[in-house]
Amino acid sequence: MSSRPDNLRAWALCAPAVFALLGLNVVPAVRALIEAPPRPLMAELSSWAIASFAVMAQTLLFCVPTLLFEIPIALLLAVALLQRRAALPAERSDRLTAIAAVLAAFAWRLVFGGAIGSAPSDAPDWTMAALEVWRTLPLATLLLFAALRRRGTPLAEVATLDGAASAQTLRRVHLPLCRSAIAALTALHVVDYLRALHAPLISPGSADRAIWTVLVMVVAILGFRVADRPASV
Amino acid sequence: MRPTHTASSARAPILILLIAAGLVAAAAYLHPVSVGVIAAAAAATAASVAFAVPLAVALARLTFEGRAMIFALLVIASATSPVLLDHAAATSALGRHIGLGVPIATWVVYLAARALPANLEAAAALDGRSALRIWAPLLAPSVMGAAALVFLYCVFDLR
Repeated sequence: MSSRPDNLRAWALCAPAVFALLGLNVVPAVRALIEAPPRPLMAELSSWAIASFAVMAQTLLFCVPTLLFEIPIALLLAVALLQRRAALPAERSDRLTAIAAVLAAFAWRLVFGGAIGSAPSDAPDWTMAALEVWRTLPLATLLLFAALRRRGTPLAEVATLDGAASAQTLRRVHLPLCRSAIAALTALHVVDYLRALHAPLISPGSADRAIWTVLVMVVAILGFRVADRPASV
Repeated sequence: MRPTHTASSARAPILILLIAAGLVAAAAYLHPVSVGVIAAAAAATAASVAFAVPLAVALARLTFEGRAMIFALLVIASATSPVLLDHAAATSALGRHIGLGVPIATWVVYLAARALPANLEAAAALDGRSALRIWAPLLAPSVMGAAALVFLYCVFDLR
């Protein structure tokens, strides 16, 4: 049980960020929800429900192939990075991590910021999913690498000593360790696709967008709650 | 056994800053940006990191009453970022970027702080050191990585 001084110290650390997040993110979003007009009448409700169902189906249609492509590639890259890091002396391995972090950040912003990576409007759906993999792969690799950094190498060594093949190690050791990162990645993709397909989610004057915002919040909360659980191997 | 931290790893943040500066310089050469954009991005990055790091460390390393509530607020704030939801009409550019930068930096540093050994603070106390002096060098690379991420986002968004 935490003591009172500990509570005060922790709250003092959290307070500035809490005020910033409340003032800049949460309160404006809630205000936009309140300012949205009441829900549409029954006749409009059916068309809204059909449109919303279509957006949801389209989101799943994009998310599932994206994650199926992205997670194995990112996992293999993260494991390769981990093995390379383990083979290096400590000071050089720190540099490798630093370089990977910065390059991932830069690649992520570069493809999101410019025209690079954008698909023509008549491109088929699978092209969009493949482009999404290309865009977010550095971030995904870094997330999985962060999840593996702490316990990945010793556990993999123990598994190898026990006679596990590399495929078994990948499936039984590395994949469970990455569960929280994969959950966070899934939540990010769902939110991003919902934003792209139904953006902007909040604007005064549209009740359906306000409802979608609540849905996005629920998805994000569920995703990050799973992400916060400790992994068990 | 491989040491988890050496004196030379203190160079990692400097290396990150140098790489980020080089990449930004290359991007600025390819796509010219004004000094004002760099200054605004730097201000938003500094504010975001200053808000995010204490929050991330408190959430990852301290046990206190109300932690679950603050964690829920962080999750909701991540999903209601002004950039993500486009409700930033009444918000300034600085506020818009801090609104996105604080959650991103918090998640990056939070994941790094959680990965540190659980008994680190106890070991530091036995050695007569404060927890802050132990956390600072270990978290510096991830703080710099988060700062680079937020800064690059701001530069590309303001450009």
